[in-house]
Amino acid sequence: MKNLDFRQWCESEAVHWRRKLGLYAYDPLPADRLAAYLHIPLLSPDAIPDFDATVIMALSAAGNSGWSAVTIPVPDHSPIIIYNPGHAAARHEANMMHELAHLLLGHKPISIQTDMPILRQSYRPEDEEQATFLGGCLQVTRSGLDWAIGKGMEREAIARHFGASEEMVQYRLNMTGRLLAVRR
Amino acid sequence: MTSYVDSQQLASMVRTKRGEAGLRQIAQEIGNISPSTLSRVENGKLPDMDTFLRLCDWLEVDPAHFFKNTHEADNPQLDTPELIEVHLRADRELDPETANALATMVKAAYRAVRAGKIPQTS
Repeated sequence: MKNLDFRQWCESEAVHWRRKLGLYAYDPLPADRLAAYLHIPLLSPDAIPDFDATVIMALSAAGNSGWSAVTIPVPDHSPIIIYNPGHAAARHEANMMHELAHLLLGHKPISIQTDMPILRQSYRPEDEEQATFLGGCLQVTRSGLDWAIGKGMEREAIARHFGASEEMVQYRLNMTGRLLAVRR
Repeated sequence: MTSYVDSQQLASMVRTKRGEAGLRQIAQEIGNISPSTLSRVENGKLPDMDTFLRLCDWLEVDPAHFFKNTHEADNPQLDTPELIEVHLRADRELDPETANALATMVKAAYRAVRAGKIPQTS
């Protein structure tokens, strides 16, 4: 798909999933709501049955920011995503939408063997770029930006509305060529 | 004795034959299958019968090759593989404690899903 066509498709996807969930194009779309609709469980470590509580605490500690999420493909089942509950809400939303974007795009990871006791996969750089763009669209729609700009909302308010970070809002403003009104 | 389709083997063979080619290209080559369905098959999800037969044609493999009986493989559906392939969103370098904890967590989650303790809809 050409770059422009891909971007247009992503913008349409963001609206498409909102419509499926009975939302307006400018409404926020929480990642857990999209995941539930796609039948993809989003779990924190403490939601895993029969899992050692001390290990849960170590992985969930606010100071353990080294990991964000693990997507686990399981035969005859939807993949599951386990997230780090220690991240701030906006970062969590961005991480989840990014992971869901990979799944929506049908990206195939490239398996690489590391020293870790699990096979850690990577996506191709171009697939990461695609997931970043689609994840951003899913969080902050172009229509939503137009709506917010029309209401004279500032970046902080837009971020609050979408449950996103201000950095994400600025990224989306840059990607869509939208400008916020200058305060006088 | 219970019969089942070995979706893991199907997934592995499809992934291997597709190689570096794109999902869309291979889906078109197989015919009447969407790229997203092809992706789900490669992730171990069982397709419908029509799609399954098309895949067998494309793989040039007899469909019977994928039919197994539980006593042949000691119920592999509940086995936890020695190594589980996951996508991990994390720092490039993880300290050994976190890496081991993540590995333990992945295996516990995998076992829980296979045992039906984690429903498909959260």
